Amino acid sequence: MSALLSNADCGPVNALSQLQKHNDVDRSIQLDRTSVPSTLVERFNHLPLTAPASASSSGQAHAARFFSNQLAEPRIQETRSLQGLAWAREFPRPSSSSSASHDYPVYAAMEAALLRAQDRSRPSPSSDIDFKQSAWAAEFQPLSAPYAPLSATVPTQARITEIPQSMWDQEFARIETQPPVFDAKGKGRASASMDAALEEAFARVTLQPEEEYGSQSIQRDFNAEFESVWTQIRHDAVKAHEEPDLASWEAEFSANRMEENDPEWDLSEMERRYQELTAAARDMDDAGPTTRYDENGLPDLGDYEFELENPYLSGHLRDTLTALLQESLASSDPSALTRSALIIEAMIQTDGLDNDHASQFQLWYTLGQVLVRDERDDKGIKALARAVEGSVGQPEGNSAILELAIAYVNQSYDMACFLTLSRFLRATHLSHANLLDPKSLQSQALWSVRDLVKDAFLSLAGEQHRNNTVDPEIQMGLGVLLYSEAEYDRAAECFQAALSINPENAVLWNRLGSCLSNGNRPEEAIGSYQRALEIWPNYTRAVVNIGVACLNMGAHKEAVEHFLSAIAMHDGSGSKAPSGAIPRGVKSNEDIWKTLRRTFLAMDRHDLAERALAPDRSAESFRGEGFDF
Amino acid sequence: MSDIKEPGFKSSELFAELAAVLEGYTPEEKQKELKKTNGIFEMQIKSSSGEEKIWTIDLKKEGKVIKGKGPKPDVTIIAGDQLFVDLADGKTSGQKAFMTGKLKTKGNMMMATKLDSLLKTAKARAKL
Repeated sequence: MSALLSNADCGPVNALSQLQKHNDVDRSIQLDRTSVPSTLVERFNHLPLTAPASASSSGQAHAARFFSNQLAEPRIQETRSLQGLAWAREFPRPSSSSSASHDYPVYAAMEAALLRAQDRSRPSPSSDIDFKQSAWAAEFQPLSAPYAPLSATVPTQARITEIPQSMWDQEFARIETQPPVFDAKGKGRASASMDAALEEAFARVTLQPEEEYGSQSIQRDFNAEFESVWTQIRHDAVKAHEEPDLASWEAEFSANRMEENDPEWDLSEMERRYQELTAAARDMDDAGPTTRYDENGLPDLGDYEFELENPYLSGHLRDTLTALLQESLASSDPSALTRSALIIEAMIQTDGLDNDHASQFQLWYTLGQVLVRDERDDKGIKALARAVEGSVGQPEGNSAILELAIAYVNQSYDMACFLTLSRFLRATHLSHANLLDPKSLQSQALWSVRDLVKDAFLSLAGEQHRNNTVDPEIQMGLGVLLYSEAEYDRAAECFQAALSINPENAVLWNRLGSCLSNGNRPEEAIGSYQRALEIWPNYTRAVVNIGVACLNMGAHKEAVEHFLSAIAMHDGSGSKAPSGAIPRGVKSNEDIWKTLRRTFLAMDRHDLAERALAPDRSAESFRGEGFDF
Repeated sequence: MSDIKEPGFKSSELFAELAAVLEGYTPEEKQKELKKTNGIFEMQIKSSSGEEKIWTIDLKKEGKVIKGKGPKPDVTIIAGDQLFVDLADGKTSGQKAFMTGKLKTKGNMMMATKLDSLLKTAKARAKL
């Protein structure tokens, strides 16, 4: 550690002393919470400010908002009132910088820097995060027990969708009760038209939120109906001669059945085929037609590609690099994340043949997080996958697994996400993961896997809730599962629950925002993203997400400004850092430019869309067009 | 894309957005998209007022959206206008819609599974 203390080459700022300042939890310069408008919606009753405010001198005073997946341990809630929530007593994670292990001083210091959350916990008891605990908690409430409403001392502020109690009870009860025996024949006979038969079956089990479910196992009834109808249809399909445009489908269908020589239509076979097709669609979704899947069912994304031009590669010692990293993460430089990724890449490359697993894991995990926060998923997901490979036995190993699962869902690798979440559960709560054996899961259809994993998370969350515990990571996992099936409102509630424990975690605010955004609640989403940026101004992902929400709202100019802002963060044009310019070779995520182009087209500015194609394009070149970023 | 939109059909806005996205692609991106989806979708939409209209989404040959019939489709998707609003709003997924009968198909039913990814392309998505 002495090297860090005495190293005057870090530049004007002594990185370590900055860390110390953070440790002292200096609150005096932080924004006064009470001055902030309290409702998420209220914050956002007008179009968003354009670019995030450029870092002011108080930016440095703000503790560096690093990403950290070190969410608080599950907290016991002593009372159910919001004021009693454990977050109020939460302390920032102790920095290990002062007690750095002598074996790996470099990595311990780095970890300390990383533990500095975009998590700005405050002792203030008042909460401006509110969610209807009754709605959320009702999810875990067994049918019979009455539920005492919370004494919410803070007025309800966030506009949360109220889930009808009965539906939640239903959902939860479904997991716990045995399915009733059903009549395999079902009521309807497959009529001549397959469509009509299907329609009949579906009509009986069409899910309508307002409906009171008579049976407790709606899901299993549905499957039973489906199965019976398909059996009948299969028989009919072989014989029927329907309209020409159904012919090819039927032929394909019956050909397969006859091949397998199976007397009865197998629902799981259908699901399996559906899965193959969604897998095929998925493959092509994200990586071109050639994505391969490995023996664990995970996509083979290829090797990590280091930046060819990296100013940090020339002759820096590992210790110096660590200090530079800390400085970068602590800085108010808009390109902090992009720069930090370069530094870590240099660390990994100069580390070279070091076989120390702990440090390898830490480096890859940190790099992965930096990249995905910097909206560079293509690289970030590979780094996270590398980290997870070496995650067994690492203290943050499980958080890395969760982070990877989320990276998968962001890239639409849904199955990989579910498999990874099941791995997470096996690692953290094995007793709840009985049905989540990897080999068995891999042979099942996408829907089944999601349902199995979701049920496991629901069951665990329910149990935790009954013990007055909120586990932010379990809530996140559950939220991700709901998000993946377009249940955005419910997913939002899960992230809000996680926020109740970690109210100053910018990543959670961003994630909440995305649930709201994809669930068509863009104004609230923007409010959430703004919270994230307030905590962590350099959080590129939140910047881009605001742009997306603006685009969806038709606020095209603001959308453009946010995309340009993000691009400028990547190329370092806003950066005043004395050393290490961002090399031109470091590219913004192509997707940002693509989204920018489509926004220009939506504005009928074909000229600007053209300019966003040119090889010499840069964010700067658009400044003259009246965009403020 | 004013020629794609049709008053009374909210889904047409989604198709227009998709058209805009396709227009914004570089030739390489478009090729990639066509290879990936490799299908022609005929969308038969019924509006809330009972009117029926057709759009063709060609993600196989030229990468464009046409109002009306186009080249021979690989799959025909029959649905109400509201469904597309719900899909775009994230209130349901193509899979769910199909399973609950809100969406019907003719032709290569399995192509319908690509509907979700198609719509994800049409509407900009936030990331967790």
